[in-house]
Amino acid sequence: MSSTPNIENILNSLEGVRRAEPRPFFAARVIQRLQEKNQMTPSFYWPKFALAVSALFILIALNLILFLSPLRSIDQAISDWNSATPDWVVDYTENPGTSIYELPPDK
Amino acid sequence: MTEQELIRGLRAHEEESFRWLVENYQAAVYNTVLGIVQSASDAEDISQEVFIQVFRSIDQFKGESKLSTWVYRIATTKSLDFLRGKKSKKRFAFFHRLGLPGEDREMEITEFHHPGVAAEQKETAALLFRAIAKLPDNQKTAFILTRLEQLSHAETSNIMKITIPAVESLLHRAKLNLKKILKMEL
Repeated sequence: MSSTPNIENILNSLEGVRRAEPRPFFAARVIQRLQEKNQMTPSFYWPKFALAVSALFILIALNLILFLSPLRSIDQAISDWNSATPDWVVDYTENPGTSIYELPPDK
Repeated sequence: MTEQELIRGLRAHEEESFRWLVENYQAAVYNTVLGIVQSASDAEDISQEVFIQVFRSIDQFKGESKLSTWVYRIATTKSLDFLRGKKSKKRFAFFHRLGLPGEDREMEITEFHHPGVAAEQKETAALLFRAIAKLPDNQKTAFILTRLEQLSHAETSNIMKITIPAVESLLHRAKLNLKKILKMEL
């Protein structure tokens, strides 16, 4: 037996189909959902807005810190480094008899 | 209430107009969405979203077509978007499931019974809906609008923003594809 008539039967199975209807009180549920969404909208967006503004302020503050203060402190650090006398130089200058390096004891 | 009065009321955000719209279009929207997504709970949810979008974007309705055409367009778009989202979720879930032993694969192919189908056609209609789910989006939309929602080719062409011959071509190809799918499955 060929499967073609069967397929035709399947293809025509929507003939005379009735429209499906949603469950009762659909309109009430939609209106309730719409009201909930309308109420939610401002409070839902407020934290996002606050978060975005805070993030922006933090970014600006970080930029100011990075661009202004480090320039001076890096220069200061370099000059401190250049002018500083190492401890071993001070020790040697005060006690010329002491050795700079730890030598192994003579045997 | 005339269509112009309805649109005016919706633009003024009148609850009475919105309620009238929902009560008079709910069957059309729900039936279309149900035909495309093939799940009663998802269809209810998407239909609600359709009406909320109609209410919120009524100012964007230019009046170039009938309000019903615009509502159908939103319904089909939202339903197809839902299916696309579901497909991409499934793709991620597939990788997640790879590591898990023997999950029930049959869960994915659920049999759908349209409540408007006569009892004697129930089984054959279920096979047809299973095949419809495998059609490309535009063929699926054209088939559901003309066969399930019983809209004319002209109305379908307005909803899909294509010509009437293009609708006829889509329906022809849909029928050929359905035959192929059913042949493979039977």
